[in-house]
Amino acid sequence: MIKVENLHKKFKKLEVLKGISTVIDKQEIVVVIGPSGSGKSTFLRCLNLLEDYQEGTILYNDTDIKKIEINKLRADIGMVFQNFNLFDHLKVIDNLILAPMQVRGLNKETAIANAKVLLEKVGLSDKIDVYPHQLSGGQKQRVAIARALAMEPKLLLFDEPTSALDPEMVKEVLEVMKNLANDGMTMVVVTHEMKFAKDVADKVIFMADGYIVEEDTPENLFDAPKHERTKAFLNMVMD
Amino acid sequence: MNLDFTILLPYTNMFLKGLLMTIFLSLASVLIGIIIGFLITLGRMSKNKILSISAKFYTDFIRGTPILVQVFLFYFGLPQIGIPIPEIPGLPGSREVITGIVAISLNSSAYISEIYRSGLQSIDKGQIEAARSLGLSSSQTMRFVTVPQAVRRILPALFNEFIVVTKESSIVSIVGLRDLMYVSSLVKAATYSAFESLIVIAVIYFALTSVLTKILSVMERKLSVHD
Repeated sequence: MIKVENLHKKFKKLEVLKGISTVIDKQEIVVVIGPSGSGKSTFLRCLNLLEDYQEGTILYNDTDIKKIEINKLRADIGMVFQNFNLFDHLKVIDNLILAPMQVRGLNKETAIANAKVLLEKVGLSDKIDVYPHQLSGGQKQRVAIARALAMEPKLLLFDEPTSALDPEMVKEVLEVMKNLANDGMTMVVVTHEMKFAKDVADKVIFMADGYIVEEDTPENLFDAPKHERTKAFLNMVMD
Repeated sequence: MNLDFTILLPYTNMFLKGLLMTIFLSLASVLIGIIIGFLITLGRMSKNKILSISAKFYTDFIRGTPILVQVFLFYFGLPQIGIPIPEIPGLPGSREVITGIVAISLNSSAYISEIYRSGLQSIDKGQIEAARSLGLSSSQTMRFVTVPQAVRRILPALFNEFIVVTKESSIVSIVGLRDLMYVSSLVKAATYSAFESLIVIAVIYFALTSVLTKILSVMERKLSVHD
């Protein structure tokens, strides 16, 4: 579904991606781990062109993403952010129907009907008419996931979706993500939740210093890492 | 100390007219400033370098020079280079009023354009990224996300600008515009007593801004953006 070849990204003089190549298959759950500053989030943000890159190519269904009309590409690739980024001035329901109506051209009734199904799915049917500031962090993130799903994306990107959450709210968000994975959604997840990676991922990518150091099944990567850098990192983060 | 406010009683009507003129002048100037300020902001955000640089120079110049100088530039300067500000037939003093409105609204437009700009810039980048990542175009993002959120921050600031202008507009009395400030000097000349009429207009200005400030705080509460 996605093929990344030799991706290079610089912020002015600082090179944060130094030649990333990988493949994301349909219905695959890819989890990206690594120390902060390793380029994980930047890599993720290149996939929907929230960040531009200088070298290399990203193919989406065999087409260079830079040759696809950008809003069409983004309508296909949903994103969930660390800080939720719900539209503060809109009620939950209006957060969910804005893009489906404006981008997909759905009529209001259809968009609302779809949104209700999604809110049910993330367990927030009772929050349909509240504003984001009335929600807890975990609820906000579940609404944000529902908002992304409302576009019926083919691929969902998660940028540290639980990092801004209080510990007791992490679980409810991971639970929703697990359900999505079981439903066959294709997902790329940047996270520090190693247990989620172990349980849910089909493939784990370990990044450090702008490179992919190692990518493998969670069993191999966590239990038998090949590279010293991976071992050192896992030693730091695993209990 | 012998203050006698009864000497002002015959001039009650003049004070009232002065107050109405002050309110009219401020309201008209801010309303025009809102429109000009909008155009300036469009200019500043424009990709056209000449437009954005001239718009920036305009705001910097207005904000960097005394309002008194600006008023004199219009009142004395324009006629001298052959652009007389017209007197509307049948409305004595309208030349001064027009000068006042032009000077104050141009002055205010620079501050108002800064209000727009900071309102737009205060919107969290994450809001815009979220909208773009859903496939909304940049103009759709402007229309449905950035502007609605910015308006909530801009409206109270605009109203505050109106309060500021009700006070600062007193400067145009110097070219003979019959606002509240001007009335006090007329009354001073007629009664040979300055203090009483100055106290009265100070109290009127203060009452006016107090009421407006109260309205502003209600407005801020109603429009507050929850982050």
